[in-house]
Amino acid sequence: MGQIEWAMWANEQALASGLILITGGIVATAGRFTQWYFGAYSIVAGVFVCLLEYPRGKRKKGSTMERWGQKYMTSVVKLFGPLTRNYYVRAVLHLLLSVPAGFLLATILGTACLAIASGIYLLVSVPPAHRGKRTQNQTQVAKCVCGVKCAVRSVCAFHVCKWSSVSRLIDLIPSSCQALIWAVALFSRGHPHDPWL
Amino acid sequence: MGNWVVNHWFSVLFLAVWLGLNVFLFVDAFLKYETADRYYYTRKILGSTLACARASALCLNFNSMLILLPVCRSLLSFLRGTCSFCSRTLRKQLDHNLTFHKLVAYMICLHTAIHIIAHLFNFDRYSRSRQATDGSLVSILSSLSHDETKGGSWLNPIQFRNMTVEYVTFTSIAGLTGVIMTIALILMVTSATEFIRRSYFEVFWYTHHLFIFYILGLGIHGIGGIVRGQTEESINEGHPHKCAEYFEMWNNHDCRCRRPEFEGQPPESWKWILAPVILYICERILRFYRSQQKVVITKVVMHPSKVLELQMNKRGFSMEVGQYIFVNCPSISPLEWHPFTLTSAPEEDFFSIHIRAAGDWTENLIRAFEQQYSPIPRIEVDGPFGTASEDVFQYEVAVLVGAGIGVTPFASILKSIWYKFQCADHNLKTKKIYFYWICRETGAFSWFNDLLTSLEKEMEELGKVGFLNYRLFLTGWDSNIVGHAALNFDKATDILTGLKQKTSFGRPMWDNEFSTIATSHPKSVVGVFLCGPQTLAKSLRKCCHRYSSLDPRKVQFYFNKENF
Repeated sequence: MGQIEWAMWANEQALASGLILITGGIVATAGRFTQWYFGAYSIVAGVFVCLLEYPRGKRKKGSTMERWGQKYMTSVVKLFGPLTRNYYVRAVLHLLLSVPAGFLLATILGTACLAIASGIYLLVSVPPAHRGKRTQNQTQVAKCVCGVKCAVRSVCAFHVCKWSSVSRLIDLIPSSCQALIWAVALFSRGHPHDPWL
Repeated sequence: MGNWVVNHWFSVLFLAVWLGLNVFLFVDAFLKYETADRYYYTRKILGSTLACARASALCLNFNSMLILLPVCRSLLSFLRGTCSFCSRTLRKQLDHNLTFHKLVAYMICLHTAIHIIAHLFNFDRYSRSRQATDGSLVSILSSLSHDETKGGSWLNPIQFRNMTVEYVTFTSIAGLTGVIMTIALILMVTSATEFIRRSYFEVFWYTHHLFIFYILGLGIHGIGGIVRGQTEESINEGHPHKCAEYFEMWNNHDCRCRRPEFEGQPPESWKWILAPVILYICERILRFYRSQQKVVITKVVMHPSKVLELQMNKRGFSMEVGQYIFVNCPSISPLEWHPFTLTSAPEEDFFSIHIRAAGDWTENLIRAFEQQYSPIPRIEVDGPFGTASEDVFQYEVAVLVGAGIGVTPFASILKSIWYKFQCADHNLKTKKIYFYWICRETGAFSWFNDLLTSLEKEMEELGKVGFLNYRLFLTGWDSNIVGHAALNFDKATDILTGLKQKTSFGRPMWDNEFSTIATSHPKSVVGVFLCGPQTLAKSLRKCCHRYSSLDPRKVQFYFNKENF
């Protein structure tokens, strides 16, 4: 079981979820259900997820069957570099995308399926040998979260003070820089293997 | 075109009947719910989507009944055995069980989509009619109380104005089981795609057991009785056609029409799925019982190219040529069962399998058997199960094509022929066999070499050299090998295999082969058997159609493919 690349199944699941989101969204919008604007969102989110997940990533071992016509989408997806290559980012992205669709019954199935795909991607991001221990990744994530929190706090302080004192501005700079540095460090780590052919 | 019809008429008929039944059930249920008086008031709120949902529900029941049947392997083997007097065409249909299982699954997915979309509209309409305060018919119907003591029975499942549809979905049995069933179905389908199944079989196998949730959910889905129709007495007291217009006066005592009363429909899904579930449970119990029988490993042989041969014995085990067994090794993985074709002949006093390293489980198994100083791991066996190769001896002329490890069912057949010759079995219908083995690397030949060498000798001794024609094709050749072969052209035996028949390089030209066979046997029925990749199946099938003559008395090629 150790050699199973769960990300391949996560990819199929996410693609299916995208289609389900689109269908649910169309039903909600066409039927003008209550709060149908969530349905409109769901269509857009579904299309985005389908386009992102259509190119099948390259397997670590063995040959990979490309999906028909995937090379056109691959060139677009590759432009975003580490944002689309990293499975952490995908997991978080899918989770965030699925949340708004959960407010409408017609699209709640899409939410559940996309959340499951996100969960599988998250599992893949943590290498099996390090599961249960705090890994370098997790430390980086924790640092990044701290950095982001610092940045947010700094921005709030900024708004409150409204340029009232220079010392606050000076305080703002280090925490934002910290957040930025940690974000770059996390994203540029990338994923162990190149997900495209 | 004519040949295609001759070969596939039974499949087409079977699928037409299945599709026809689906359409009939859908239309019948749709019309029933669209026109019945019972549902007159329900239709006032919901419109046609009620009939849509119920029609797709009936089709779902029908297809859920069918989906478990093609995977009852023991049942199919039993049918194949008892049907030996049936025509070849009928028995061939049992080969396509997995294709039928997939078709039924697609139909279930389609009807699930229709059912869910229809019910989304239904819930939305129920919600709107509950919110309505204009005193219209729908609002009065929706306000019928859920409290039985107030003397009325409800129609709208949404009890209160502030109840959201999401709340009703997740607190009603129908809604909750529906969500669970659909998620289980989606997970089963995404993990059963060709790519996932071929590359990571365990993901498919374990996830597919979510069908238990699907079946359980289906059984209790209708318990809540959310689909409401007017009771018989209520219709007798005041027929909806007469009383619907006077809905404002239902509360008046002097009005002849009283408030209508409704009752829920009893669940009927369990009636459809009960029998197949019992059959499937029996199937699993039988598989478990057979697997518990003791298996004695008599010989372990490690061949080059990481091929492991296991020779085993089991009490009461009897097999036919080309059958397969499921093997489980508890020390490697307690729940995984993998299929392997038997490579021994029925005439031998043991049965054997050849296992090639092609994934997690097989590599671990080979490694476990390679350990010299630890005890041999215990093996459990279930089977044997029958496939198309059993039919080889029914054809006068047989063309056997094996690609790589796909030669295993034919190893069994060739060995069986050897034994039949030794016993001078005159009941052998087969008069000629053409055997093609296509392989990528030379190392894989070695374990089969002994068999072919002894067969060559056997044929010579009995003077029946023409009975077995075999050709070996090496597709992974390079200039070194070819150069070497060219240098040794004059030698009597082949330098790679040591056999009298020389190895050919590259892929066979099937058109040439088929036209030669067609000209040599102008009046025979030729069975073509393949164990190999889909692309090869396509070209062989095309050749079978092209070279079969339209006249049924002349040469006919029938194509059979192993489906793992």
